[in-house]
Amino acid sequence: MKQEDSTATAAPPPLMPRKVLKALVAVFILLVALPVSLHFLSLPRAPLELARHLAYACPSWAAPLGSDELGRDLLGRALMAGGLSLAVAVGAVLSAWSLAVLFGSLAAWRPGTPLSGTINYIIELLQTIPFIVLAVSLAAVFRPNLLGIALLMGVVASAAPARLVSAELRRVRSARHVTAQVALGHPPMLLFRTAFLPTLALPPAIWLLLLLPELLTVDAGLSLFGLGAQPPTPSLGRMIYDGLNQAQAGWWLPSAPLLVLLILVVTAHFVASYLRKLIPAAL
Amino acid sequence: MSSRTQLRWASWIVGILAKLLGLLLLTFLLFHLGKVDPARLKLGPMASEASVARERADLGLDRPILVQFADFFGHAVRGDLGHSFRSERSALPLAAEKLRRTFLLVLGGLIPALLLSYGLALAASVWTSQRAYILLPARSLAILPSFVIAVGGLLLLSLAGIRLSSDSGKWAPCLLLALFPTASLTLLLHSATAVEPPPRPWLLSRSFGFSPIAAFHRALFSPVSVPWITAWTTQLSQAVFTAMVLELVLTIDGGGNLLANAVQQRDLPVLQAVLLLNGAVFLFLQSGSSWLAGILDPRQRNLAPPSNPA
Repeated sequence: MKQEDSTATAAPPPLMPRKVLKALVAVFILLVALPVSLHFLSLPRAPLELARHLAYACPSWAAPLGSDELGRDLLGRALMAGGLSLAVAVGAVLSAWSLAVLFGSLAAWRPGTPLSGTINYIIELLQTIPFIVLAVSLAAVFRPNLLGIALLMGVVASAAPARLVSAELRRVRSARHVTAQVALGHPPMLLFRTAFLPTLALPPAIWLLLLLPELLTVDAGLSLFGLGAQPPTPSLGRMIYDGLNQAQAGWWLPSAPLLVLLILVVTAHFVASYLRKLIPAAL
Repeated sequence: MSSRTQLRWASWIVGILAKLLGLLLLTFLLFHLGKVDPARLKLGPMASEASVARERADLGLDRPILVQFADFFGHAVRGDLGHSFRSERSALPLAAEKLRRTFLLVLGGLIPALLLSYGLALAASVWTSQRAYILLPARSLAILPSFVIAVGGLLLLSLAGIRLSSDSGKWAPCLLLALFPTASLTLLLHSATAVEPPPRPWLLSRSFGFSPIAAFHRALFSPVSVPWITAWTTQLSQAVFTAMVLELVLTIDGGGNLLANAVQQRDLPVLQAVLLLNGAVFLFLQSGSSWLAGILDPRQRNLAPPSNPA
């Protein structure tokens, strides 16, 4: 009984344990800072620099992944496009996480109210339409910049994790430590910050981390449809499309952007899988 | 039909109708939320203000928004979403014609994936000594998104000298599309069926003399058939994405190229039609899968409409 009481009044675990934070920082450095630094510091030529005499040049020391029809360095372009794709995908994850926590909590905070019903309805509606069709349609109408693309992808991706948050909130509100805090008269915001948020934040974070590889490909897909980064800024989808259409001129044309996308996707997959195992263990 | 069953049917149908209404509202808003006036988009940047104003009146954009929505709703129910800004063809039949090819491609990839994943999971359960080899391709492919597998497959084929095009038949795009769903569905089935120690129903089935294949189907597959079907349904979104990308790259005259052209030309009626048709088909498939779940697993019947209306 004594043990139960102590469990009931125990403080919730910290939002972000130090171990997880270190892992996240390491991941960020590995995934974002390193390629970007390499790209700006050690590449022989700038990604947008034209050199027509090097058009369709094979891979060499000067251009490790060859060059395109305008003689531009494919490694530099692919790294730049990969960095932008990653930034958009990470932005989409962050915005989707924030929206999922906000709307999932609102949907479950006062069940049965019109607000809750409306949010649940919108969430279900978003899940009815294929991700890419909805994202392309909205992007075609709004014509957003890269930040807008990240936000838009975040809105579309937030539907499923918002349902997770909603379910988790309904489960947690009957927990003993919450009952105790309510009995002690804690105000709603304090209750939300200390009792609910630590538990609600993790399931959508894990979900969205696992979605990161798919978001990277969605960004590539959007650029394939002519949305997102516009020429001369390189984008992975457009580079892959152009490269596949010119594959007869050189195998390296589609290989370079695909290689970068493959590395990003595989790294994101393993990092997300590792964090999925790490986060519940740390808590 | 009992009153409880009638109530479940009614709530299921009302749910679908409510989502269809929401879909129509979203489609309607697509026309009105953009930064640029649809009449200006239709006529182009060089059109005079007078002709844009005339076009606005023709499109009914000068009326109150609720009247416009009621008008749009009435026309959409009759299958009319207006004419394409560029080709002057009716948008909904145009989108239906092109998306039919996309969905055939999607089904051409997903139905073999369903059968292949069942076969591979069965083989991995029956031939345990060969399990690692059977599952190796699935484990390798499942970590890559469908888009990467399809584009990587195209690259490998082109490196091998096989140049695919819209005339090279449907088998290659369907095969490329089937790889990821096959891998992920196989692993899902395998993780649920290859339990150590073997579950009691499996041991009982084997001791009663059932063959390994019959025992797999009765004792191992049946309990996981609902998650398997649900996972298959969740593959649809990625499959549509991949199919559209393949259509773009291989210049197949389907929904992918239609969507790309509509985006480039800012053809709002076609965009609306693509969104509405995709949503309606997905709604139908999602409802169908929950109905199927009700047939396969009686415990799901409280969540889905009854499998047997009688």
